[in-house]
Amino acid sequence: MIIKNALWSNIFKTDSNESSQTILALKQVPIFNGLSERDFNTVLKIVHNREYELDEFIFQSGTPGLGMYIIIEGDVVIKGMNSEGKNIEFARLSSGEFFGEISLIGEDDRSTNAMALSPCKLGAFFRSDLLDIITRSPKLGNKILLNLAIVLGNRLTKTNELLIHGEMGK
Amino acid sequence: MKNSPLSIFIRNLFWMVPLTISIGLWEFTWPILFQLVLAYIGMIILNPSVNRIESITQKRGLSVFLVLTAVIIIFIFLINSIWPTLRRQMIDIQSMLTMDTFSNLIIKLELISKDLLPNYLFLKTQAILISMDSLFSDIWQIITTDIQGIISKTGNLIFAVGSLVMSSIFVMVFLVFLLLDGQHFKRVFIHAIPNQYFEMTVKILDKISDSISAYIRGQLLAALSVGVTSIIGLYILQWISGINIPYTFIIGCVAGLSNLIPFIGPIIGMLTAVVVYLVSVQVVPVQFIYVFSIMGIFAIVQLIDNLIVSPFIISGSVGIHPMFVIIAVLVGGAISGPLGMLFAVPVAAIIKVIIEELRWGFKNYKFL
Repeated sequence: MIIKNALWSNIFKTDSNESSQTILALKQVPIFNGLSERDFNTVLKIVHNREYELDEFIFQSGTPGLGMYIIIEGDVVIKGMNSEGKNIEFARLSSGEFFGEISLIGEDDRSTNAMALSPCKLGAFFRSDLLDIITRSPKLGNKILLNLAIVLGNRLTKTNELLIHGEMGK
Repeated sequence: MKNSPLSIFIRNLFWMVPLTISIGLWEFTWPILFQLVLAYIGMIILNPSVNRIESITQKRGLSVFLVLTAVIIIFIFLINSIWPTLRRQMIDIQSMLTMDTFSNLIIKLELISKDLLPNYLFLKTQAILISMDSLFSDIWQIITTDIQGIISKTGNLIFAVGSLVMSSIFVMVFLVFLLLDGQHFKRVFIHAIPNQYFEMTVKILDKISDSISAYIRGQLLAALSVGVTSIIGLYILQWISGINIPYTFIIGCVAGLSNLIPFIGPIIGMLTAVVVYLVSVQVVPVQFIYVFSIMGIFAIVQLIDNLIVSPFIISGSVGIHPMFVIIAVLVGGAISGPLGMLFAVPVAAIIKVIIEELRWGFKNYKFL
């Protein structure tokens, strides 16, 4: 459509390079496993693209959790307090990885801080977006929910293993 | 630097410039903004249906098309079936609103109080009625002028740009864009927000939009329910008692619309019906039992609304203290007359929601 190309795209410019980069990152996230190209385009329209500078907070502990972030480019560190009140590093994540997915399910406050370790590009996918997908496209919503359940289930299994082997808190 | 003040300023220009122009040229831009508000209300009403159909068709555009086609068909059907009656009744009421009718009303009120009250009380009431005659006639004058103004200017008021048809088309176009790209507009706005406030803005916008949608949908459904039940109630009363209450549709519309104003609204609806009945009734002396029956009908309508309808449709009520309701109604009236009074409370409720959510956001995201 001429109008779309000339007017719309100029007002709300979307970079096609950025879009393909985002789709590439989305495809690495297990929560979006088994999605068709069309599904990815739907998710792409919903994901918020954000850019963070070095040492900038993505979210802080104690604030309401809204949803997950997918790292499109750059590195992110997840930090928090351990049981002794010490500030420790939980994980370092890089492009294609994701964090904050538990907030897609519950409305609890964040328990950790997420900070940019380098200038990075992130895609934010929030609970409200997931609910919107479930309403408008139940099939796609179910796929994402099932994948999310698998991811959280795997994490629970790993936590159980760590507990059984007494590795937690060491 | 992405988060430097200059960068933030430039990223926000896309909405700051149109907003500044809109406010600066308010005189010319308000009709368009009004059409946008109408389209936004339309989007709030239609979005759930569009979403439901989209879940089946998987195509947003097709779903919007189907819903709007259905709306247009229903609209045309309503215009053909109800509009002629409504229009006739509006014209009749316009011609009825004269000072003669007022003196007629006062006489009937005197007759009723004579029937109802013991003699000494009646004499006192009559004295009060006579002493306040000029005040009452002033009020009547204001009301009639305002109502006649509303009736004759409704078209201009709602559709100040061009003709009614042209303006309807504009509203429709805005509505189509909002239904198709509403989420996209929101994302573009959020994109311009600095990272520090990003999550808070998303959360606040979601909460505000949910609360406002629930409030507007709830109020409109409650108004519709009160309007329809009033009309049905008045028809049943006429059927049982054999009395004639003209302009039932108009009374229903007034009762429904005035229901947007808490506390005061229900009384306005009831008074309209009583006044219309008293003015039009030819039988003298007036049988006050019928006046009470009309009041009873409106009490039942309110009972149905408050006990059955509202609890189901109004979720997360936006409570406003009665004192603020009165202040809002007075301010609305001062700004733009009866229409201002009507929309003052919904506007106040929406402002309250926005302030509450902003406060919630700033507190929970530790900016306060």
